[in-house]
Amino acid sequence: MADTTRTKPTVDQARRLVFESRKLFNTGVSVLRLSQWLAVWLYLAAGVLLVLKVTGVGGTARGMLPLWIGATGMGVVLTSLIVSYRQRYSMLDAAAWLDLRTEGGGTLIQLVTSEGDVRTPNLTWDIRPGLRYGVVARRLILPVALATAVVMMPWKEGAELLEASLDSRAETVEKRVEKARKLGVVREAEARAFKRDLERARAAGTRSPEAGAESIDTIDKRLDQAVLKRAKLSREALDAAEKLLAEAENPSGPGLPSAAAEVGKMLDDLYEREAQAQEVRRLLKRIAEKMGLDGAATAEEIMSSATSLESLDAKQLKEIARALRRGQFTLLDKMARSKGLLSGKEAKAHLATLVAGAAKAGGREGAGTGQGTGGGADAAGAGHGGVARGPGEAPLRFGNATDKSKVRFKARPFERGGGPLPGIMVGKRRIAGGVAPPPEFQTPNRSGVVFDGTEGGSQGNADLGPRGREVTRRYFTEATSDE
Amino acid sequence: MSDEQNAHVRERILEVEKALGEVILGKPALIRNFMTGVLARGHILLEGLPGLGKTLMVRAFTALSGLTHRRIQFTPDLMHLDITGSYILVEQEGKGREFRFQEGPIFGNLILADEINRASPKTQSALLEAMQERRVTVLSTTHDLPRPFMVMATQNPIELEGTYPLPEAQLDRFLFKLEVGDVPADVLERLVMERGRGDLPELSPLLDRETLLEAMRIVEGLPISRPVAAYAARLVRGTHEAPGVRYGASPRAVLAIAMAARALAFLSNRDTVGFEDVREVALPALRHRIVLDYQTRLEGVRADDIVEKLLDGVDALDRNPPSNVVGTLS
Repeated sequence: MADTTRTKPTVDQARRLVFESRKLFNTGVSVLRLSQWLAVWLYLAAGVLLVLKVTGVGGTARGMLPLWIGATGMGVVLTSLIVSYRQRYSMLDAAAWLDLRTEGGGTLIQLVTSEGDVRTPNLTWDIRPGLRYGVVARRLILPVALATAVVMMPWKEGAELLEASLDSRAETVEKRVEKARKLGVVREAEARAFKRDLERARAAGTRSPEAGAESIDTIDKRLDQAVLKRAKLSREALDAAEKLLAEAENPSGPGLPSAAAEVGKMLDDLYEREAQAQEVRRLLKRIAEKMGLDGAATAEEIMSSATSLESLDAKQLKEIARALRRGQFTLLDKMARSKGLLSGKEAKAHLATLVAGAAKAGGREGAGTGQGTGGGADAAGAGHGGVARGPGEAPLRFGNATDKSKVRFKARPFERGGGPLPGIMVGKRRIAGGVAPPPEFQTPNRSGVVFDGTEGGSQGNADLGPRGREVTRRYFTEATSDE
Repeated sequence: MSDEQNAHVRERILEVEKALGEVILGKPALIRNFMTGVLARGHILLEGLPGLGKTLMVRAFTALSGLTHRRIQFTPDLMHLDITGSYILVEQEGKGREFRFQEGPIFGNLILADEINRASPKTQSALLEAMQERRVTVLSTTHDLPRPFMVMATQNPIELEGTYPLPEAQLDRFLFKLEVGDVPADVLERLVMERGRGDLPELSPLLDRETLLEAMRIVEGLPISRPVAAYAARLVRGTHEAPGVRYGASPRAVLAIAMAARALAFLSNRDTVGFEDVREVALPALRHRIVLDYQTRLEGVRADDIVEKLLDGVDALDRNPPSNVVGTLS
């Protein structure tokens, strides 16, 4: 507490006290004025927001509100800073205040107005004025609380406001459609359809804003689904490319044709997307020319023919797989980076999951996608994280090469007299269940394989993928040799 | 003048103040105000009930100061020329007869105008020129009064019969109006024990005219800062704006406050005038310069109440730091 002992300070000490006090006064006033302006502005902004939210009127005000709040807030802060900067208290003012508080009898005033020595008797020298920031903070509590409460309040969707916001929402969705089209996520035809639907929704909105809003919401969701569908396809294409690369390590392995066929299917989709498919198209064109398959209608046909004719070596398959992977990874990367491509939170989360997997895949191989930080662009840059990672380096560790024994689809002989049970996975295909054999073959055989009923019926004819057929073939071959 | 000489002069003045305290018992504040008024070269109006020592105080100061003094007992039949003096016909041998100015009792350093309100306004007005300009004019001839010149007047506030209230113009010429209040019991007891018949104790001059004039010069030279002067000005201006006041204090009041504040600072052993000095002298300097309206007087409000309210209400500083930002003393 105050020590009221009276001491006799030196003139220099007293002058310094006056100087410091003057600075304090001016700072204090600036802080106070700033808080006053801020409080007034907060009340004003909260009031305007409250009126708009409660009444639901204001037309486009809702859209303009962030701009208005930002501009006026900036203006208030700048103005108050400029106004507050003005020095209000002179040395004489500060000296007079101190003189009054210390009962200095004019001594401190005399100190700042005269150059010569001044006697300084009987000053209460322990004066230490200080800024009370708590007062300033308390001044702002109520307006801040009010503004926060108003911001948290839900909007009342007045008819006017809803109608006015329809255009804005439709424009937003249209922008997203355009963005998706540019990325190649939706096809031209799809984009046109979306835009046409949006026009219809707008037209409906003029008659019934609620119906218009609902239509736009539906289109919004459809767009999300289309984007996610494409992302899923890309992800599957990546997986297929990975598999083909793995199988290509062992050209004599049974899975290669199947993997190549899968890649072929994926490539079909790429034909529709010029931007991502150029490299693959070029490769396939070369292959088709080499094989004399110029007339092949689809990439799947080309790939199927290529593998069946064994005219493509493992290196070429790898090349195609890498090109495919690069293209799909690039697309996923762009999708992940494209802001506002998706509207729903769940859709965004789903896309993030898909992209994260892709990033992992890209980083593992380090195949290079040309995307900078995405996907481990090359071996040297591997470990820089995938597209879903944040900025900065994040080391990735690479262990030994994947054990071949852990390849996902490993050939496994069926038990004698049996076959794959309905629903069992063979390769990426699910064996169709519920295919009933003829009554004469109602035996413990529950393979679902349909036999042709010939004598000795060792020859199976199942609706299986190439890989499944290979497994079946091997099974029966081995069974025969055992006998 | 050096600090040592200043200190010497102050010491002599304080000795007189102390000696006055031995004469007028139990009134240190009154004596301090009286000495303040003297050092400010002001005229002082002492108001109080009979027997409180008004005249005694002036007589004691006269004895202690060594100044030439005159006493004028104001009576209803006192005439103007009885105060200022007049020309009388004098016959001198060989020179014939001539008119010669016979100085009145106003010609002195210290004039005790006892019971000043018992003379008629016409007679009282004889003091107007003398008090303001320190000279008198009789038959177109102006005569300077000696320096210093001070009028110490006394009046009784309760007797109305046969008295004439002082006109505002004359009241304004008094630097201070000092009210001599009641005497507490212990002081009365001391009076009984020490004073016997109530005679003035033997006093010898502790001061001479030159020393007093030197003290007055020192007081006049004390600096008064702008914030303090502004405070005095706001107080005086406040008397015009206060409710119940018909006429506020004149500009002469602010000069009186400033001069009295200087004198008080000198008596308090300071070289500068502070806000407290102004506060101390504001009441005696303003109370007789405020004219209340009729309604206010009926309600029993006194000029002292107005001044005290002003002292409470008028900020000493015209620019206070924001109290809610700048904390109190640590």
